[in-house]
Amino acid sequence: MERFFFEGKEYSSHKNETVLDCLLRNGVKVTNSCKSGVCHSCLLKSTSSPDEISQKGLSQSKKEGGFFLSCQQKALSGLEVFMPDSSLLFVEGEVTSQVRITDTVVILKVRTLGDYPFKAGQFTNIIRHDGVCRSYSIASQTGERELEFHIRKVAGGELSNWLYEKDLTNQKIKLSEPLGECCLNDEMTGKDLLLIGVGTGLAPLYGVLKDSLVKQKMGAVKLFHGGLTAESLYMVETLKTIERDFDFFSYHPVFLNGKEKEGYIKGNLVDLIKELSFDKKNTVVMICGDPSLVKNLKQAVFLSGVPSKSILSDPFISQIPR
Amino acid sequence: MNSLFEKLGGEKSVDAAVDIFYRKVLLDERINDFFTDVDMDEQVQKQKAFLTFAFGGPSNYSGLNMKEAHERLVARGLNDSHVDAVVELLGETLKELGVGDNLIDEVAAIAESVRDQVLGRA
Repeated sequence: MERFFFEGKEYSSHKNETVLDCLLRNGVKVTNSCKSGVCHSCLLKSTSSPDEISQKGLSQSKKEGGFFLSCQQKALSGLEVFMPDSSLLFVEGEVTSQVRITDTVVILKVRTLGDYPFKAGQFTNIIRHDGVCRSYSIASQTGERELEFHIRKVAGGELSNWLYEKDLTNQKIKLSEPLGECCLNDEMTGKDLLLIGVGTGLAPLYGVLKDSLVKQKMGAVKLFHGGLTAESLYMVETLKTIERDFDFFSYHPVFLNGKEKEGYIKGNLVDLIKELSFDKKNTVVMICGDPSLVKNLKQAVFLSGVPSKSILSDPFISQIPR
Repeated sequence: MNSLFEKLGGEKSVDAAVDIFYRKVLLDERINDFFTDVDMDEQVQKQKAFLTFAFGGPSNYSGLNMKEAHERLVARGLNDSHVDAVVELLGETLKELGVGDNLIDEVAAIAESVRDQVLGRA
């Protein structure tokens, strides 16, 4: 019999029982499906060292984050297990600047008041004093002390409207631990990089882009930023300046509706990506933003011949109150 | 005597097969309506589970979860012709990977073994 902890409570396992089976037997609700280590629906998190087998197939950032497959992990004495979305790891931050860059997008900068290790491309939850909480991507480069967020004001979005409208300079907010795997890792060094962002889906990609410019040597880096109108695209001048300074980087602002505009591409982003010629076998593709566009873009990129393993994404799933 | 899974090359061959198979599924107009709406990462994991099972590999595919997993699709009209198409694409995938006909038949037989559960008849 082994004794381990889940959310601080002790559980005793039967012989050879997995963490998942033991928790389920004790009436704890843990999502699960295949119990074969394939479907990944039973992910939990540990602060101690899970077995190698229970982290098999997980991304590097998940492994580094202590995630493991509870169906593959034998219950072991001393193991400390948590629900991954638990809000245990909050860090306080102070808003240092708030720039309303378009009618709907505000760029917020937050200085964390404690250690906050993250990788460019990850996201976090911003938590207001009253507990209202939403996920936002970090637009900063790995290791930066100041966190940048691109926040789009959405209709009926309580937190996004607050973040956009209210003067928050010097105010404190809380941040949860960074999550997500739309990040560069060592295996990608030297490969080409195709970044496709829709709306504020630019944010995580902007962080990844900065990593690729100064921290990690990549091949050709292409950024497509899509928006409904030319006016909805933001940071255009910043990105054009980066394009001038780094010859391996090219920037392509794309919009759907409105008159043709110099320096922009008018068209359908999914169609453009379908027709794009690039080295399918040697390119890492990252796609972020609106979930249905992300889904279509991922399928388009996959069908064009990019291996599924080389396609990373972060669909911005939002809950809009009805 | 090696198991079917070992003869096929084990997990490595599942990894090699999954992209080929999933591309075929997404491009096949007989069945792609059931698949294009699902997130790709999730689908790749599911296809991997299915292929591991069909290759005779270690898996806990049970009749019950197969039935539950496909209930919504059956309600949308999933029927024998769609299962036929999947088995056909599975065979084509293996052929592309250079697998011989006798092993393809074995894989098809395993896939067939869950047809009734998938379609909610068992």
